[in-house]
Parts: sequence; structure tokens; C-alpha cells
Amino acid sequence: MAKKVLKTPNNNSGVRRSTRVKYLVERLTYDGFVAHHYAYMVRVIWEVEPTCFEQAIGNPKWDNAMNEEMAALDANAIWELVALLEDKKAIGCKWVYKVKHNVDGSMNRYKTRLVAKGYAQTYGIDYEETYSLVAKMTTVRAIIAMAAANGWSLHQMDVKNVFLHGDLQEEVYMEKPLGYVD
Amino acid sequence: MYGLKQAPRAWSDKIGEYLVTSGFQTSNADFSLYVKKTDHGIVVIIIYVDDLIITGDSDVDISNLKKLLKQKFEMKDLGELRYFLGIEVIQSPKGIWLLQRQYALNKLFEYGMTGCKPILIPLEQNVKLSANEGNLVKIQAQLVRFH
Repeated sequence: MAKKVLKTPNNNSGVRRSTRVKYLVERLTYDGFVAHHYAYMVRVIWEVEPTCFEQAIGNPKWDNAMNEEMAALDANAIWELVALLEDKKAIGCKWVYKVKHNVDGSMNRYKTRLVAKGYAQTYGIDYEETYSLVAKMTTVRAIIAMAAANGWSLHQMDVKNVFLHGDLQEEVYMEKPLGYVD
Repeated sequence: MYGLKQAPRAWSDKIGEYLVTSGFQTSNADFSLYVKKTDHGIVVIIIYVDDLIITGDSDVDISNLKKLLKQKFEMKDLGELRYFLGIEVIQSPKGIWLLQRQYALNKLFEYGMTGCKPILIPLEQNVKLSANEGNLVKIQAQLVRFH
């Protein structure tokens, strides 16, 4: 195979640069990787994430993941099935699929989220104010400095299904998720 | 529910309400910072959406708080703080180290530069950039990424 030239050296910028000709093929192969990096790449590329429900359904791994997400939604009792009134509009929803990997590239789990198409919501009708709990970096650093000065230990927790916990102030109508009718 | 405009706010209200009824006070400087005075000293919580940092004088107070939070919400105890917002944290009796090693490695991986040579000064020093000098760079819109 003929090597394709990625970049020929030119020296008109006044800065001294390497005069070695660089080939595209050197940049785009996996040949340069050591074995475990190569294995990681293969792993990551091999697992394909579905982009829609039709691609995922029937695959036991994704079916399981969807059932899991549905169970979490049910457990938090976040909705009820109603007939849509004539003057109301329902927003859509979508299944999103993600393969989670461990640091070493091995499979962690198949994760699925049902997300509402929030971009279709209208300010003042479907929602009022928006706000998110996002700590400022200076706060984080200040507290860590305090912990260091006082010899405190720092601990960490995370919340599963964080956005299933809140209670909405407004009424929001959403179409039924694909695959789950009742 | 994920995707709804008001979902982050609904969560903020929920956890905030719970913490306030449990005796915490919000900081005026940063609403994601909660502090509670106890018999042993103070307990401090920092919230970043679904990530929480907890610290304070008393390990008993901290573990009690963790228990309560686990009961009330679906929370996972990740133990000692090790990785938060791209910052690695190493705790030792001598002090606390903060590193962005993993974050830098992730960025290098993302831009296909894991093979590049390390250098102390990655950019020419004292470089002066001007809007009307040099060649125009064409940017493909679909490649632009915002953080």
C-alpha cells in the first residue's frame, strides 16, 4: 500500500520544525499500541451502542437494561398513565443506550436511560425556573484546604438515578415509552 | 425524570429541603454548600448534582449522616474522596494532594495525542497573537466541541 503523505514539512513560519515526512498510516493504525492497549481499543470498538429502540429490542443485554431502567422509574412512582386532554401537549421521549467500561477497558455494564425530550417544553407552561446544584470549584478547593488544615477526612457519595428523586411543581405530559404499553 | 428542564431543580429542592430539616444551613456564598453544627463540631456537604463530598470534625457525625442519606435516597457510599470533577485526591496524614493527571490523560486520549512527547513548555513563550495575521483556519462545524 502506498503511504499517503499527511504533511510535508514547510519552513516558512520561522520556527524550527522536524523535517521528517509524516505519513497518515503511522497515525491511523493500531500497530503502535502495546498488547493491552490494543485489547482495550478492540473492546471499545467492538461493542456498538444502539441509537434507537428498534436497534436495541430483541438483544437480551439491552432488553435487561431497559427493564432495569423501567423498574427504577416504577419504583420512584414518577408518573401515571392518563388520557391526554385535548388542550394539552405531550412531549416525546427516547431510549438512550450506553456501554459502560471499566478503567482497564473490560465491560462494566449495559446502561439505558429513558429521557424526556425536554427541548420541546415551553417556558411558563411545562416549567418555570431552572436551577442546578453545581458546586463552584473555589468552594471545593476551600473545603479541601480546610480539611487539610484541620486534619478532617473527606468522604464521597453518589446518588443513583438522581433525577428520578425530585418532585415536579408543574404538570408535564409525556408520550408512552416505546416497548412499554401499560 | 431525565431530560426534563426542571429535573435538576426538582432534585435541588428535594435534597435541600431534606438537609435543612436535618439541621443544615445553606451557605450564602454557594448554595451547593451545606453546613451543620453538632455537639462534636461541624459537618460539611458539597453537592455537585449527584456527587457529594462530606467532611467535618467528627467521623461519627459523618458516618451517621451517610447512613441517613442512604436511607432517604438511593445513595452509594464511595468511601474516602479519591476522584471528583476530574481531580484526583490523595489523602495522607501529611496533607492532601490534588492532581489532574487522569483528566489530562483523558484529554490526550480524546484528541489522539497519547503518544506525544512531554515537554515543560508546550507553547512558544511570549507569543503575540493578532486577529489579522497568518492563515485562516477552516473549522468543520461538526468537530467543534463545547465543555
